[in-house]
Parts: sequence; structure tokens; C-alpha cells
Amino acid sequence: MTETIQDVVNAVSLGSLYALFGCGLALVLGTARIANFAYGAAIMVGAYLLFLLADLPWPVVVLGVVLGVVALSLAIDGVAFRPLREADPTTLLVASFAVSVLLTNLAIAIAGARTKGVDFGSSLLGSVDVGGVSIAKLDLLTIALTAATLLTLTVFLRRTLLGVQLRAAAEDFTMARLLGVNANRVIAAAFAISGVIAGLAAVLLTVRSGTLSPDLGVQPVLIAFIAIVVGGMGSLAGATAAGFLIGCLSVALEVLLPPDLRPYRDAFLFSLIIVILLGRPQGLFGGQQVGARV
Amino acid sequence: MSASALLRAAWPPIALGCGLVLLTLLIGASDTAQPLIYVILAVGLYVFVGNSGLISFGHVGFMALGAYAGALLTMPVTTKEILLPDLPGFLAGAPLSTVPAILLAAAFVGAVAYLVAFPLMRLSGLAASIATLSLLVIIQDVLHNYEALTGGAGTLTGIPTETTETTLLVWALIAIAVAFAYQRSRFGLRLRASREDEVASRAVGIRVERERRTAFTLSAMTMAVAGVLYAQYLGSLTASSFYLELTFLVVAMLVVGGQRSLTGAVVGAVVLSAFATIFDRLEAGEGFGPLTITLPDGSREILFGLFVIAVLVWRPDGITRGREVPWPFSERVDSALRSLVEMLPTKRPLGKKG
Amino acid sequence: MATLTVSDLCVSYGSVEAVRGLSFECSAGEVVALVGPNGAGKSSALLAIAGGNRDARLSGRVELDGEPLLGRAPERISADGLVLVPERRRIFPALSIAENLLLGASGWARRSQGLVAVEEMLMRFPALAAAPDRPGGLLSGGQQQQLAIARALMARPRVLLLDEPSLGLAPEMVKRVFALIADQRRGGIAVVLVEQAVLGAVRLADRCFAMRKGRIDGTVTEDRLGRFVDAYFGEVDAVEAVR
Repeated sequence: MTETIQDVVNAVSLGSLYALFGCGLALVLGTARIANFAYGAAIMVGAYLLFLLADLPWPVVVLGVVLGVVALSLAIDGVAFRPLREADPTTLLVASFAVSVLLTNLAIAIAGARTKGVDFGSSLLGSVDVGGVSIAKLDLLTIALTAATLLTLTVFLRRTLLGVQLRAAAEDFTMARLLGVNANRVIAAAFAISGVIAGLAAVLLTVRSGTLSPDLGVQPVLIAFIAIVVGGMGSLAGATAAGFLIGCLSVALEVLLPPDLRPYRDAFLFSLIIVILLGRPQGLFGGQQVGARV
Repeated sequence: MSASALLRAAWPPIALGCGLVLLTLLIGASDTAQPLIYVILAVGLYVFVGNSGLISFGHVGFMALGAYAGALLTMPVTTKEILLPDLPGFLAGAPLSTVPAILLAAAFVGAVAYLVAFPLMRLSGLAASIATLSLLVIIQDVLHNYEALTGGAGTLTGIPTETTETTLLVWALIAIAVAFAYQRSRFGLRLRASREDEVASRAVGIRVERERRTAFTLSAMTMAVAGVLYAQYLGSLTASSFYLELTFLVVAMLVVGGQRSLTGAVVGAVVLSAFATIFDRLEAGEGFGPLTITLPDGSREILFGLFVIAVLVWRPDGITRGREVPWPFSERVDSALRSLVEMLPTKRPLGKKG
Repeated sequence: MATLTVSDLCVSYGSVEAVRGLSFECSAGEVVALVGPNGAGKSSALLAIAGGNRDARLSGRVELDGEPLLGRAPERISADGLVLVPERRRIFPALSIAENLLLGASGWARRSQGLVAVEEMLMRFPALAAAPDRPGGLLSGGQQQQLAIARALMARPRVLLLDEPSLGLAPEMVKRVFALIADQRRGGIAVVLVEQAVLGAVRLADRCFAMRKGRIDGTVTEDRLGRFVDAYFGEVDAVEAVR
């Protein structure tokens, strides 16, 4: 029973982290129509920033990481994506892949290809007793931070002018522009928010694993991509929910798969996803088509 | 069709083939092996990407499957007993020679690709591309973990290195010919129509998913061929070399060369191979020609990343602008040649003044 | 005094020429109508004038009080006072009525100002004021049309372009929409109206042009309407009908 509760908390915690992955990526996809592969690299840069700042007091570290990743995201938009505003989704995807490779190899060139250890937030690695069950503090933090972030995002999207503009741009970008919504500003806002989420994800990931490597962004962006496709390409809530679902499934598979099949957990996970897509190619919550409208 | 008309129609693959042969002869054996493999890879990916307009991140996974299949089919029995003791019976037997191994590996990979294409090609363009990424991951995962077949995460050695540059050249020429034949066939043309205007082509009755599946499979089979050749060239395989770096390299070749034409694929492969060789030397500290600086690891990828972004921004159709090798004998040259021939002195009958 | 001048506008999508040399003028306080069959290029023209088709090739001149508009970003064009109510309305289905309206003020308002303007606009459109939080996608056709027009009015246009506002609406609703348009004319706005409901358009407009195959074929007046309709439905030679 205790173990089940711990597994559930584990699942919700990983689900929360993956929900963040999906949310950040879906925000940019919805508004700017860019499947931003470089999102993973942005998380990686955040982790390396954390490594650099690790000895400072933790609020400074978190703020530094978030601001750094936001700045990077805006720079990526300005340099790589703005000149490609009118290009088709495939071109943008390839461009984002190129940016990702660029950033990853910059990290290798500057910091070396090997995995480094990071000592940050070690006070969070312990557990807390909740009603007789020992729950990892990190899990609680992840869940709480994700909930807070998603709540803030929802309030922003509903209660601010920029938020309403973002939602409108995601539904019908051209119509929003015809009414005076500034395309570049809205896209920059999407990248900035995505950067905040990526920064927070970087912090959580690094505390969780205690290590850094240049390819640490690969798994998050892969998961985010899958979350978007499973959730339905037009839906921010869908991608977030799908990310959560994938995280829970991942833990479930870890717990339920027999030991000799466990190394294949990722293969199972992705295969399951292909099965879901077989049944519902438009995604679980999908409806809107991202791409050519007739 | 007359001989000259046939020549003109098949000009791109003929020109590209001749160009490759020339380059191979000029540059010398040891440096052309890797570029030729890259040519096959680029042409292979082009068969799907160039004709469908969709990007696939998964095809390097098919190359990996081909490589490991080829390895298992050609490794001597004793080596297999030592390195892969848990191999299932039908694979532990006597090795095949190169050509049957290639064909069998390609057939196997083709079957896998065809099956996988069914769910994947039902997705919309962008979703399909994302799904191919997960394909790459799945294959990588299986290769890493299915130790009985692949030796796991480490390096599988002992593959017979029977491949010469001539073999590679021949297969490169075959790949180019097949790719050209496909793109000029009904199937290729229908798929290209869907690339231009998906809605209109469906309206005209083109089964877009079916055409995409065909290209996807043919492309996978070509990558598998490259994989077997790669395995036999290197003599050893590591699962992690068939992942994102190689995927990006092949994609970059298409983008830089021009993803809409076969010429683009070949040109991109040659150009980037050249840069890759230069950078490999510089990164290893060997210097290249007058350059004696040592570059840090990863410089090559950084350059390629910048290349790709620059090309996409300024010349999205790549070097070749999506066109094939042009027929060099223009009409004016043709008629100039003909009038030259007419001006040559001919026998005049006696009695007439010249 | 706002004057929209369109000279020799050409719009093509790839190899398809949708608009081939359209020229007309529309000044403040007048309604200019463009009528014609499907495929005449009317919607492409309006979309091009408002800056909405990003993947078309455009040539010619479009000027608002002498300021060139052609090819500029749509948000700039709308900030200059030219706003489009597009074909099929294109309201934002997941956003509420109030949010749709607020969007319309994006070019000039901060949130607080925008909210005030939304309140004022709702007072002019009682049908919308009944349930301002209802998502746009759940509204009836008539409500959506009113919302689309109200939303465009939020942008404080000097020139209003309307693309087939009567589409899919019951006759009572069409009358109401046309009355709204007449109100705008009274308020000094220049209105360009594209319509298939020819009779209503002809009666409402100060000038009405027939558009066919990408350019203006001639003018349409109420007395000549019969022959015009016959021409476009194949009974009479088209050129004869509009001479």
C-alpha cells in the first residue's frame, strides 16, 4: 500500500515534469507554428547555467537560470525564426534542429562532452513523512512548482491582453493580425514564456538527476514532441495533459514491466503512442489542424 | 526513343554518375569511401523527403537496422559464436557474401519500414515528422538493449571488411539510378504532386498516404543498403553512431544541396563530406593544407548548423535551387556545332567554281 | 476625409490569377459594393487590400489618403484605419464574445481602455450583451456576424471592408446587418462591401460594380438589375447587360 502511494506520487511527479515539457513546446507551436526542436537545447543551456551559478543562494540561481533561458529563447526566435516567418512548418522544424545541433555542440566545444556532476538543491533529496508514507521532497516540489506554473499561465492567458492575443493568435493568426495584433510581439511573448518554463524544467531536471551533459535536452524535447502529437497539435491543454499522461505511463511501465523487459521501457512507451495515434491520428484532444487551411 | 532523346531524358543520373566516377578517380581511394556512403545516405533520404515534402528523422534508424542485419549475415560463424553467443538459430549460420546480404537486409528493412509506415503516414505532415523521431528512438533503444542480436551498447566488431571503393561507387550509382527512376515514375510524380498541393492532389484522386508509404519504404531500403556497406567498410558498429548527429548530417546535406532534386542530394553530400573531412583533420589536430589550427570537438557540427540556418534563410532551395543537372548542350551550341560541321571543306564536282 | 484608392490591383496564387487589374475608389461616408459570381476574385481583393494573404503575389497600388498600403503588415494596415470583416466571419471560437471584442482593440488600446470600449460596444449590440462570456463558437450565424462587425468596429476603422456579410443569414438578419452598415456610412466611415445578395447590396450602395474574372466589368443599378442577374446566370450577353 505504501509502495503504491509512493508509486502514484512518483507518477504524478514525473507526469508534472513532462507536462511542463509539453506545455512549453505547445505554446510556441500554437502561436508561431514552430515545432521548436531547440527547446531541448534551451533546457540544456539552463542546466549548464545552473552549474555555473550553483554556489549562489538558490533564489538567485533559479532566477538566473530562468532569465538566461528566456534571453536565449528570444535570441533564437530573433536570429533563426524571425527571418523564416513565412516559411512552411518543415523548414522551421529543420531550422530548429540546426539550432539545437549548434547549441549542443557549442556546449561540447566549451564545456566538453562528458557528463558532469552538479551539486545543487541537495537538501531536497530527502523525504518527508506524510501520513505515515515517506514521500520524496523533490516529488512534492515538482508537483507544486508545476501546479503553480500552470496556474499562473492560465491566469495570464485569461486575464491579460497579451494572453488573450496569444490565444487568438493560436486559433487564427492572420485574423488576429488583421485586427491589429502585433505578430512579432506575440511570438516573442510565446518564446519568453516557453523560456521561463524551460528554465524551471532545467532546474527540476538537474536537481533530480544531479548530472549535466550536452545531450540532456534530447529526452525532454522528444517527450514534448510526443506529447504534442498525442495531445493534438492545436491544443495547449491537450499537450500538457498528454505530457502528464506520458509521465504517468512511464512510471507505470517501470513498475509493471517484468525486469528483463524494463530496459525497453522507452520502446514500449513510444510504441504505445504509435498505437494511440493509429486509433486517433488527430491526437486525444485534437481537432484543429496546424498547417494549411483550405 | 532515339538515342539522343534517351540521353537527354536520363541526363541527370548520367551526369551525376560520371561526376562521381571522376571524383573518385581524382581524389583517390581512401578519401572517397565515406563520401560515397554519404551519397547513398543522402540519395536514400531524398527519395522520401524530396518527393513527399516531409522530413523524416527516423531513416538513419533504418540504416542502423540494415547495418546490423548486414553484419549478422556476413560475420563468420566462429566470430558470431564468440561475440554474440545468444544469437537465434537462423542467424548463427554460415555467412552470406556481400550482395545477397545487402539484398536480404534491404528486404528485411523494407518490410519493417512498410509496416511502420501504415500508422505513421496517416498523420499530418508535421505530426508524421515528429513521429519519425520516435521511430529513431525506438530503434536506438532496441539496438542498445537487445544484446543477443547487437552486442548491446558497446561496439560490435569482427565484421568482414570486404567493401572496396569500387563496390561503394557501384552501389552509389545504383542508388542514383533507382532514385531517378522512382521520381520520374507514376508513383514519384503523384507524390510530388501531393507535395505541391496536398488538397488538390487528393481531389484528383491521388492516394497520398499510399504514395508516401512507397517512398518511405524505398527510402528505408536505400538507407539499409548504405548501412550494410557502412558496416562492411568500418568492420565494427556502435549503436549510438546511428542517432541524432548522423541524422542531422544527412538532413543538412539535403538542405544545403537542395532538398527538391536528386542533384541537390548528391551535391549536398559531396560538399558536406568535403567539409567533414577537412574538419575531422582539423579537430584531430592534423592540420589541413595551409591551415594548422586545432579546432575543438564539435566545431564541425557548429559549422553545419550555421550552414543550414544560413541556407534556409537566404537560399531555402539550397545550392541547386531544386533543379536537376541542366542539359549542357543548349540549342545555340547545338546549331553552332552543326554549322561548323557544314563549313568543313567537302568534295566539289569538277567544273564548278568554289 | 478617408479615401481608399485601389489602382490596377493584381493578386495571384502561384499560377492562378485571382484579381487582374481591379480599380476603384471609396470615400468617407459612402458604400461601394462589389458584386459578382463565385471565383470573381472579390474575396481575394479584399484580403489583399487588408494585408491578409501572406502567400499571394500582389501588384498594383492601394492607397489610403495617399499612403501606400499594398504589401504592408496587416497589423499596420489596421492601425492606419482599414479593417476587414472577412468571409465566414472568422471569429475566434474558443474566445468569449467579450474577448473577441477586446481583440479588436489590439491596435490602439491597453487592457483597461479596451475593457471600457468593450462595454460601450456591447451597449450598441444588445444581442451580444446578453451573454458576453459565451464562446464565439457557440453563437448563431447572425450573432457571429454581428460579433464580427462589432469586433471590427472596436478597431476604430476609417475604412471598413465587409466580405459577404449576408452569407448564411436569414432575411431578417440580413436586413439588420445592412442597417448596421448604413449606420457606419452615416458615421462617416468608408465602406467597401462584397456581396452575393445583389439586390440588397445595390439598394444599399452608393455605387455598385460588377466584378467578373478578377476585374470590374461595369456598374450595376437597380433598374438594370434584372439584366445583370440574367447575364451572370447565362441568359443574356454579359457585356450587353451592363452597358
